[in-house]
Amino acid sequence: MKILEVNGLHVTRGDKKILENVSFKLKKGEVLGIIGPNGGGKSTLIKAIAGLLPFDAGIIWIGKGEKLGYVPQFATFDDSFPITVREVILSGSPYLSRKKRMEMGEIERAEELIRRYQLSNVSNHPIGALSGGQTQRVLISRALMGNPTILMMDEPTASIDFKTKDQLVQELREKEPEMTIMLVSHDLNVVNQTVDSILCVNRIADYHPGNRLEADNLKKVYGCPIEVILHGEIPHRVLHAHQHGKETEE
Amino acid sequence: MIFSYQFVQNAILAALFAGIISGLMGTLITEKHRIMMTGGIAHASFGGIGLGYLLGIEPMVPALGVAAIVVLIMKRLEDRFSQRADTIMGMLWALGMALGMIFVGMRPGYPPDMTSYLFGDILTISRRDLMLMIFASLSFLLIFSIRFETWKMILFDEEHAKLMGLPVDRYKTIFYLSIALAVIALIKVVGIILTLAILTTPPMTAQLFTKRLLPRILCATGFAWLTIFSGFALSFKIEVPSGAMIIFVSVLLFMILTLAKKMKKSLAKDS
Repeated sequence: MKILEVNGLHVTRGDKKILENVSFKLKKGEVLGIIGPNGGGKSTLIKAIAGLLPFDAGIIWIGKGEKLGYVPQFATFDDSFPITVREVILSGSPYLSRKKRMEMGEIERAEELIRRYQLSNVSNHPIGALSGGQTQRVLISRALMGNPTILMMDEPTASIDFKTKDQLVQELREKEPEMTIMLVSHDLNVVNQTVDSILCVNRIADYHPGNRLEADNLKKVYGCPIEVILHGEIPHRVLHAHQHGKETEE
Repeated sequence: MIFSYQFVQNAILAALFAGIISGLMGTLITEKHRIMMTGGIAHASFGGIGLGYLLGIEPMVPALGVAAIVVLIMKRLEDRFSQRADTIMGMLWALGMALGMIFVGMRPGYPPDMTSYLFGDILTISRRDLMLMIFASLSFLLIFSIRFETWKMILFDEEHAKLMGLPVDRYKTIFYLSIALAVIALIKVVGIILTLAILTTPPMTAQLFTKRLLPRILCATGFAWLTIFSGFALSFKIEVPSGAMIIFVSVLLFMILTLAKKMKKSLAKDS
C-alpha cells in the first residue's frame, strides 16, 4: 500500500537548483536508504517532506492518518539550554500538558524508550552533558515518542560507532515492523545491509528497488566515484563529493 | 516612618515586580541568547523617550512604541538575513540614542534631566510606571505559565516545534514583544544603560545552582529580589544612585557565588 509519494519535486535556493524533478513512492513498512554525495540534496529532500523547508514545484503526498517523525542530522538546538534528557524525549509527545501525558501513558512510553536506548543513567542529566552518540539516541527516542508511521533519519549513524549503527537500524525494524523508514546515509555499508530500496540523490534522484547497488551502476547513473576506504573498524564504501555529471579525480 | 511615604511604597512594589520581570524574562532572554537584541531595544527606546518630551506626552508611551517597532524589525531581519541582523541591531541601538538626543535638543526651553532614564532611580517611580510594571509582570506570568511546556519546546528547538505543528512564528512574535515590554517596564528602575545587567545577572547567578528551566526562573527571581531590595536599601543608606547600586550588588553576588562554587569544586577534588 502506498504511504508516501513525491512527484516532480523542485527545490532551489537563490540561483542554485538543489533538487530537480525528484519522484518516488514508498510502501508501508518499506525501508528506503537515501544516498548521495555531500551537498547532493539528501537532507533538503527529507526536510521538504517533513515540511521544514519550502519547495518550488511538485507534490508531496502523505497518506491520510500517517504521522511523520524526523531525526535531524545535527542537533538543531542549543545544548546549553536547561533541559534534561527525559524532558527532551517527552517533548516528542503529541500531548503538551503534563496531565494529558500522564493520562495517555506517555510518561511510561518515554521510560520505555529511555531503557531501550540505554539512557537510564543519564535521563536526569542536562542534554548538553551527553556524548554525540547519546544525543543521537535521545533524538531518535524523541521522534519515536510521536508514534510516527514514517520515520525520517538524517545521517542517524553519524555519531555512533559501527556496531551500534547496525544494531540501531535492525532494532528499529524489529520493534517497529510496520514503520516506514527513510534513512539518509553517506555510509553505503549500513544502507546495503538494512534497506529494501535505495534512492540515489544528487540534484536529480533515481530509485532502485532492492538493497544491492553495484558501484559501476551508480557511477553510470551519476558519475559518482566510489572507493573502499578504512573508517572505524572495517572498510566500507563512501561516495565522494563531486559535481553532477563530472567525475572527481582522486 | 519611612514606609508611610508614597515614593517608598512605590519603590518597594517596583522592586517586587522588577524581580519577577528579571527572573522570568531575564532567564528566557539569556537562554535564547537575545542579550544583544535586548540591549538594542533598551537603547533604541531612548528615541521614544526623547519624542515623548518633544511632544509633551508621557515619554514611556512612545518609548514602548519604538521598542515594539524595533523588535518587530529585528524579528523580520533575523528571519530573512540572519547574518546581518546583529549589525543592523547595532545601528538601531545608536540611532535610537541619537534621535533621543536630537528630540530633547529640539524641545523649547530648558533641557530636561535624562539621568533617571539612563541610569534609573527607583525612588522616582510614579503610580503610572508602577501600573506598567504590574501589567508587564502579570502578562508575562499569564503568557508563559499557561503553556509552559509549549514555550519550553519552542525555546529549546524551533525546528522540532515546527515539525510538531506548533505556530512557532506566532510564539516568537509574542516572545519578542514581551522582551520589548520587559525592557520598558524596567527602565525607570535601573535605567536604559543598566537594563541589560538586571536581565542577565540574576539568571546567570541562578545558572550556578540549577540545570532546569523552571527552577532556574524561580531561582533567578529570588536573586533579583535579593539584589534589587538590598541595592535599593544600600543606595538609600549611603545616598548613591539606586540603579547603579542594584547592578553593583547583583554583579558582586554573582562573582562571589561563582568563586565559592569553584572553590567548593576544587576542595571536593582535593579530598
